[in-house]
Amino acid sequence: MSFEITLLLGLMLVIVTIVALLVRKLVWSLILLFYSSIVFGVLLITLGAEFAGLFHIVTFAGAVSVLFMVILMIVGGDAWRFEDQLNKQNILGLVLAVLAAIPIVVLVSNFQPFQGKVVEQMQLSGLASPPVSPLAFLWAMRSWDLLLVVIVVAAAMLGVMNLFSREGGVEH
Amino acid sequence: MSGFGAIVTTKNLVKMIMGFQVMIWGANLVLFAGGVVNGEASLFSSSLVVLSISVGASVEALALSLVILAFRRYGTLNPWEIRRLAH
Repeated sequence: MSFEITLLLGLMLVIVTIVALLVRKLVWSLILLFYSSIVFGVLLITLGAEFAGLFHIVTFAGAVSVLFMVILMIVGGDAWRFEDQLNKQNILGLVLAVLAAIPIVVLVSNFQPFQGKVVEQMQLSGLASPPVSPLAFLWAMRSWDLLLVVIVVAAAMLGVMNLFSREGGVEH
Repeated sequence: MSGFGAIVTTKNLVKMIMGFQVMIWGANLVLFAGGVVNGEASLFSSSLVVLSISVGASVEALALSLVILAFRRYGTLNPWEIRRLAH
C-alpha cells in the first residue's frame, strides 16, 4: 500500500480519536470511537497485518462498542446528560499529556536528538553498536523503563491507600 | 497520549475506559511497527498484537462491569465523587 494512504489513514485516526475523547456528549464520543476503531483496523490492514486488522475490527468495532452501548443503556437516562466540562484543570492536564508525549515519540522514533545519552546508555548496556530499531532502542533503555514502572506502582499504591482511608489521610 | 490525556482530565468513568482503549491502540501500533523489517510485517509481531487486542478487550469488559457496580452503588459516574471506598 502507498505511503500516502497510510499517512492519510493515520491522520484520520488521530483526528477522529482526539475529537471522540474531547466531545461532550457520551453517545457521540462512543460513535466516533467506533468509527476510529474501524480506521485503525484498516490502517493495520494497509500496513500488512491483515489478520490483526480484521481481528481488531471484529473485537473493538464489533464487540466492545456494542458493550459500551449496552452499558449506556443500563446506566440509563443520566448517562445521556453526563457531559465533561472543560475547565482550567482539564486543559492543564491535556497540555501536560501532550508535553509528556514528546519524549515518548522521540524514544520510539528513529529521530535521536540526544545522541550523547544514547551512546552513554549503549556503553552501560554493553551494546557494541547503536540500536537500529525502536524496540532495540527501548531494550537498551530498559533500566529507565523499570524506574518508570516502580514510580507508577508507587503512585498506584498511594492511591489505593488513600481510597482505603476513611478521612482521606493515614488510617487511624 | 490522547488516551492518557482523556484519563487524566475526564470526570466520567466510561470516558476514562475509552481513553484506556485508545492507549491500548497506541501500544498495539507501536508493537506492530517494531516488528516491521524492510517493509515486511513480522508474523510474531502480528501475533502479539492479536494477543494484546484480546487481553485489552477482556480488561475493558471487566472495567465496564465494575463501572456498572459503582453506578448502582453510588449513583454517579463521576470518579471524584467515589473517592472513598468506605462511604
